[in-house]
Amino acid sequence: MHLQTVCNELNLQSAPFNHSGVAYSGYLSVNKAGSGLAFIFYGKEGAAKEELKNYPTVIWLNGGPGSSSQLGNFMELGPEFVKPATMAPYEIKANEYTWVKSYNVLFVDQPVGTGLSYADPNYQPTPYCSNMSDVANDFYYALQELYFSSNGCFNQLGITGDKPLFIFGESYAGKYAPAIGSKIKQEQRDKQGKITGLKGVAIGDGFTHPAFILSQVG
Amino acid sequence: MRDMRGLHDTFDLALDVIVDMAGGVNVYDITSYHDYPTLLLESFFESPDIIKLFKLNPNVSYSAQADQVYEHLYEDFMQQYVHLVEELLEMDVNVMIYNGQNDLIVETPGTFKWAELLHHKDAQQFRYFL
Repeated sequence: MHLQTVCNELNLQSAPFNHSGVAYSGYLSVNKAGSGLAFIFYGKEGAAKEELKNYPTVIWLNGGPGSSSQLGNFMELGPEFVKPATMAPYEIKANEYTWVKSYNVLFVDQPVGTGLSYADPNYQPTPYCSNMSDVANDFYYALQELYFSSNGCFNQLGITGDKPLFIFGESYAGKYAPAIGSKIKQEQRDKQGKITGLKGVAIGDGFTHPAFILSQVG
Repeated sequence: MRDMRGLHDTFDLALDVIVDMAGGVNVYDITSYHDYPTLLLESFFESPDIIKLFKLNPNVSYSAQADQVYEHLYEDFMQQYVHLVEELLEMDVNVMIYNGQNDLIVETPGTFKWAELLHHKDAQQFRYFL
């Protein structure tokens, strides 16, 4: 299988989602044979496609390592929750506190092999990441696809590299978020990188310094 | 050279003991004895209707927790990356650090500890307990 960068517009307006905004899914190449990062993206609720570029964008990352960011989407801050149900495998319920009420939110499954993303075993020696520079390099490649490739959703929506961007990382993503953030800024500073809108990085319950954190348990 | 694999092994062992002694507490919320229903998302993304609705590639199978990804970062697990946060601050990126009070693994005092020891030009303002 060979995943390529693609941007698919979704129609989630009917039941059970009843979503009141634009939504996309897709894959982003990371230049490791057919490997790709999968994402689900929601434009700010109530905003038309052409207006999305006027709102800040939040990237949400769950940790693990290997936890899908769709957990964040469907159980923490996305517009519709997937909840346990008695008569069905699950039910869909609106999340009245979704961040999508105020911002564009992008849920990316990364590193490759996580959640809806794909790690191509044909990539030698391995498609998998073993440290934060691997993670940051893959993610930066994927971001460039998103912003600048003709198949990239942000490119198609006119969300240019200078628009305000925030990266949130929870738990193990308390390492991913600063790794990706500092990669973006380094590319901007040293290599005329065109993603220049990074305004903030947020770390929630971050596993950023394991030894210090664990020294306080109990 | 530190034994990063051994450190991770020890972490897993210690956490198992704590959870066991605490009667199977939820490691992300110590007020709960129920794990989060993350497996729900696997049945969600297995549904042909959902795959179609979300225009997903049907050849990619979803996993809420990818073991291969975890294994390849096994030795990275106990590695600290505070210097990356310091780099962000140095390059004038705003950084927000927040923490839930009920997390067993990443508990608030531990987060205070590394956050207060960050090196940056405004560090003194953030050192409540030092």
